Amino acid sequence: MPRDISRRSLLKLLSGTAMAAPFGHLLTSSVAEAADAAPLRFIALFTPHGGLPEYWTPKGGELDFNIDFENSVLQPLQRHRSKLLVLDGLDYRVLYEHGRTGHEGGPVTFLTGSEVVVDSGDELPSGASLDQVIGNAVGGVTQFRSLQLHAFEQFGAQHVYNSISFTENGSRVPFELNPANLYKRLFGSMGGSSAEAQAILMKRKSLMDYLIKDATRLKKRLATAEGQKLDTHLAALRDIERRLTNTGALNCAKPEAPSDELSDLGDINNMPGLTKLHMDLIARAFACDLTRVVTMTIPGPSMPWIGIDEDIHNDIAHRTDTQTEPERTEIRLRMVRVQQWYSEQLALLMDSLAAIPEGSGTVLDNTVILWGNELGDAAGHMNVTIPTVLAGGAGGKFRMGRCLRLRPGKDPLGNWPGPGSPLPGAVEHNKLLTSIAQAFGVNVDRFGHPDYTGTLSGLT
Amino acid sequence: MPLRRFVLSSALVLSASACTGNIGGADETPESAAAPARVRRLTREEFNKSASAVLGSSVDVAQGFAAEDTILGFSTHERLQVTSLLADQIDTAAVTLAEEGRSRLSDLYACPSGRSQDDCAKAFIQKVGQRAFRRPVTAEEESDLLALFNAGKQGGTMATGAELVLQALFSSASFLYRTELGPTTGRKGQVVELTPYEVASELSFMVTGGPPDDTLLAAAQAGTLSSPDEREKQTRRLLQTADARLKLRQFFIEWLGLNGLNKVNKNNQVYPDYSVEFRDSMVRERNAFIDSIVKDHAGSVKELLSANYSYVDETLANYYGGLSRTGVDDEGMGRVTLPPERLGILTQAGVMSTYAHFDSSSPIKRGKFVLTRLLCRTVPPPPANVSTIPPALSEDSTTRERFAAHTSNPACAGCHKTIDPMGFGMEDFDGLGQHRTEENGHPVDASGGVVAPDGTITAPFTGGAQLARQLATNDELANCVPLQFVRYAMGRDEHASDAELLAAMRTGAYRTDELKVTEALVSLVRSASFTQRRLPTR
Repeated sequence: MPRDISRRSLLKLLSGTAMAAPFGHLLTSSVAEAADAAPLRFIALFTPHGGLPEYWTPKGGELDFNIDFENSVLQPLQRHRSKLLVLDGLDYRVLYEHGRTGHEGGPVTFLTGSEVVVDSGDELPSGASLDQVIGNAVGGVTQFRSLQLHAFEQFGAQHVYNSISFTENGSRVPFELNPANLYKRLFGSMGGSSAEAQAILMKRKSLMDYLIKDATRLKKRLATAEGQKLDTHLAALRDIERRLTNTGALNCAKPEAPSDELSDLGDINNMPGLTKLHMDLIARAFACDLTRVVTMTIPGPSMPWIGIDEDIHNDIAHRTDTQTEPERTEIRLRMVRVQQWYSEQLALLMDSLAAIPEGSGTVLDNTVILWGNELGDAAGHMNVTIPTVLAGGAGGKFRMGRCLRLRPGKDPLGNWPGPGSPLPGAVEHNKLLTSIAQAFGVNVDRFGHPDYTGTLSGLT
Repeated sequence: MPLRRFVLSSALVLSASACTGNIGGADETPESAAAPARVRRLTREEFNKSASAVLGSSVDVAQGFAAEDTILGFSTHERLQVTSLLADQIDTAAVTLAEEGRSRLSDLYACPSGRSQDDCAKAFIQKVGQRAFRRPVTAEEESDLLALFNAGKQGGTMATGAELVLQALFSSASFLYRTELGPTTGRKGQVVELTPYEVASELSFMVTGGPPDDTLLAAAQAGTLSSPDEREKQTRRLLQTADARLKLRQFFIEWLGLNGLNKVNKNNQVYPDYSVEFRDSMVRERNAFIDSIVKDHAGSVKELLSANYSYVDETLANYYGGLSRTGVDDEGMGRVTLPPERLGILTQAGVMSTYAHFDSSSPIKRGKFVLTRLLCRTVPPPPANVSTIPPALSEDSTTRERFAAHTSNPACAGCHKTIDPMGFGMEDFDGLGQHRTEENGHPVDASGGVVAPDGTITAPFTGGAQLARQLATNDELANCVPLQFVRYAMGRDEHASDAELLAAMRTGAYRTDELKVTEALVSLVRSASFTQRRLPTR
């Protein structure tokens, strides 16, 4: 970034106005003006704690599916029903067939389709996540190949529960926690004036030439695996270089900076506000075509703003298998409140994207959102029937407004003898990852663990 | 639109390319001969120290960078990368650091009359470049940086030229990665000795967490670092610095898995003593106690485990049973003699709280902690079809009774017959590290045992203090610590070529002298594992 992002202007950027909806005004996508066809975008949204089949699963059939019943987890999404594709019965099959299940596997495999590799002593995948693969394929024309966001840090940086995005060598891609920093990164270099800017630009170009040359010199001395580190580094440098001359889509207005009222990133009461700021910035970044790929994690240690003061993981999720009534229903309904809040966040994100006109429709029409979870049924801690929803218009790549029953019938675990034996009717999520990759023009016939091939039928 | 081709190993690319890998030459050494040549990215702390060394003034700009993740429990691992977010953060930080450098340019840049501007620029580049790259700048680099200097000077002054060079240095790969590649003349597949400057860097970062100082660089230049005695001498010199003590503190914290202590959260309904301030007290005890082990006992693991004292603030002195403190310092920390139920670091409130749940103790977490971190045993994950939810809280039974029922499942027993006796033996401490003899009105049974790998109980014990006393003389533990230290210091797991090194650590002064980690470190810097790498075969 040129010099206009020095400490002086940072202060200026951050001295925003009040909290009230910084990006609330109607926006217009600048992409439609600049390009003939609107681009397809990808958002992966990850939330924890597992599902509650009786409250999560839509009632009815494929087209007349119903999410508008009492205590329906998906009810807040009713207003976007026509842009949902609910996937009931998808498994993280790779986890229970290749080693590790429970909580930890979910974030690792959600976007990678990989088994959990523990050779390093940590829980990591064996390859890249879908956002990185799509970002490398389509992100090269935008300023940022992809963005990784996190609404609230619960476990310390880059903990296994915090990270869903991984590089080619299976390392965690760090994420941005602070919307103010995200704003600076996205919009900080925008604007500024001619003469001085031009001089700075020339120097920046010389600088980037040097940095790329230096990194390339080092890479030449490394073996393939070590060289991957420098490949990642060089890709990042080339992105910076590209941003020098490509200042985003034409006529894109620089939005107002978010207020710094929520600067305490460790205060749980700020989580709803931080979530909203991140999501508004996603919408703005899409409107300006600064990126086309975003991942976001929203954790849930507790949710005092909806009266959930206890530790959701230990005091609700771990207790959802309570057998005695009325305790069982009470605990499960508390989890419904938690999961409904997540549904509401997705609905709000869709609202923001739908508020940006693009071509004859909106940015939402040209976005695929994949909303996933760490577990299937919260009670069993198994990776079977993961609550999974595709949302957005998906640029017509997928047929929305439906609910697919991928594994009809009840309780697939009932007679299952355990790992090593096939689980009847299992449909692996790798197929979905492959389908999404193909929708973005990535030429693959499988994604993640090589055992699982092909696309998910019925999406189109 | 040019689409950059990228490699997908996890996704099978439809147009599979032919295998074109070549087979290595006849003079290649086997992979077991030495660990692979590599580069290591600076951590945030190392970045700060490195930038400070270039500027000659202390900066902490990297604190805002994306945090490191951990591998094998350590944040100092070799897989750290410069991803897009970090590259942007470094890019911004380099601007700030270059501004800082410009403001103190008189220390860095001098141009006496009679010398050409290019010569002055070259002298500047050599001076700051050597500090930034931790080795002399090559002719090619000098010429590239001079071009950059002149680009920066255009329409400006010498100062703007110097500023652009500094900006480049602080964001360059040669600054951000420490190399362990040996001389450029090495042939593929061969084992090479690292260059003297690489050895100087490796030694300095390992001991102090920062770049080599002038003395060490001079030793590199003089070529004396090929001598194990000289490396030992330099190591012992650097061990006296405050930076070295902090680097050892970090080892103990990460080895014991205590880096998450400042995020520990407890249910106040169950633990009314818990508060953010209480948590801070636990962090302070952890740091003060470890610092005393490092400073006064050369990092002795035996002392760490069996000290009958600690350093605490008033909160913890009261919590531990109204202990009286001596030598209370400015920070409010004073030394206490521990009551008989507590010993060393194991029974500290911070350790017992870390290995516990939100609202109860966790015999499983504690057992696994001792087995994996202290004894280097491998504990496999639970079978995939087994629920790993802790048993529900109960008001009429003890934690031990709840967990004993839970793990009596035959599918679990294989591992839990080793984990449980270890964990149950620490049941005399609750989930906030308070000592207890009763739970829910029932007497606490804290009898346990260290089960040998072959499944026999070899060492019964009762309570955390007895366990700590046993561990202090346990051979398995004495052999484990060097391996953990290699992981931390080398940033990787054990390699086939480390056998000699580990044997030297396990039988040398570390072993005979109170398990002093500083002596293990000396064995490490003297070893072939420290100075040798195998070059790639392609």
